Amino acid sequence: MSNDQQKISQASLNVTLGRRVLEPAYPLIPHFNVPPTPADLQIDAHLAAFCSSSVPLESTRELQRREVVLSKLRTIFESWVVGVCQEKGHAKEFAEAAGGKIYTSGS
Amino acid sequence: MGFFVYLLYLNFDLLTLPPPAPSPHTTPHHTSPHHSYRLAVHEPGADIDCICVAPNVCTREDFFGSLAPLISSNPQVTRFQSVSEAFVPIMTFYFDGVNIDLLFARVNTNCVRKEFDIDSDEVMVGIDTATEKSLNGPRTTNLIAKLVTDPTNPTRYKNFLIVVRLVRKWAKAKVS
Repeated sequence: MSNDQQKISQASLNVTLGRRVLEPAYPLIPHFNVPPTPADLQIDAHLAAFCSSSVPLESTRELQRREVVLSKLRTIFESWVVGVCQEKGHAKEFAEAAGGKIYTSGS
Repeated sequence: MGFFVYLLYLNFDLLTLPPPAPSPHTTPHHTSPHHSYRLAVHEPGADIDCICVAPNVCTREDFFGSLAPLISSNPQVTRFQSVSEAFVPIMTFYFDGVNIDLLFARVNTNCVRKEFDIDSDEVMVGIDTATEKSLNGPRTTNLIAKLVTDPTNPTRYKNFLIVVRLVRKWAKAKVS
């Protein structure tokens, strides 16, 4: 691979988040962008099959219940922010513009 | 997840700042905060880690003083506990049987709307230590998601999920 091609491949690994550009650590390992071999793909398939059969997933119904809970919690939180603003004597417009967001983290 | 953060840090030499954009509000949201499992690992029975990001009009005292009773008095809430004196103050409870860990972040702005970008470093200015710790969770999770997502190649994220599931399986087997 020529140097120019190498640079283009490397640039495609950059990601942007919160206005930062994150670059991979250089130098990259040799042949970092060589496609997997048939043997690699066979191992991948083996691991994926083991994962499906032996690592359980949450049911769709339970996932939906969690989304409902989270949505209710958002409503409680957002109306609480409005309430705090009003309690502190802020105008209705200020209270309605204050907002508030719930984020989730982890896996 | 700490293991993955470590792996990612090994591979990614952070960070180069680009010139400032004209407005922080033009930054697009790349991440969706609307899933209870942020990374979609979908482990059964896992708790939901939630972070309430509030404008500066709301204080931590308000969070424990008026939001806590609002939540604990909800008929669907059980096993409510609040730990306001912890290093990272937290409320934990079950909402309709779902285990929730609720953290509080008070950011230095009087409005937290749709355009608010939790991934921007501007949110870290003028906040207290507990808010800093609380924001670290979603910010790190978003970073991991971003690093392993390739819009042109969905297989990459699928492979990531398989690796996470397998490592968790392995870790649990080691513990038991």
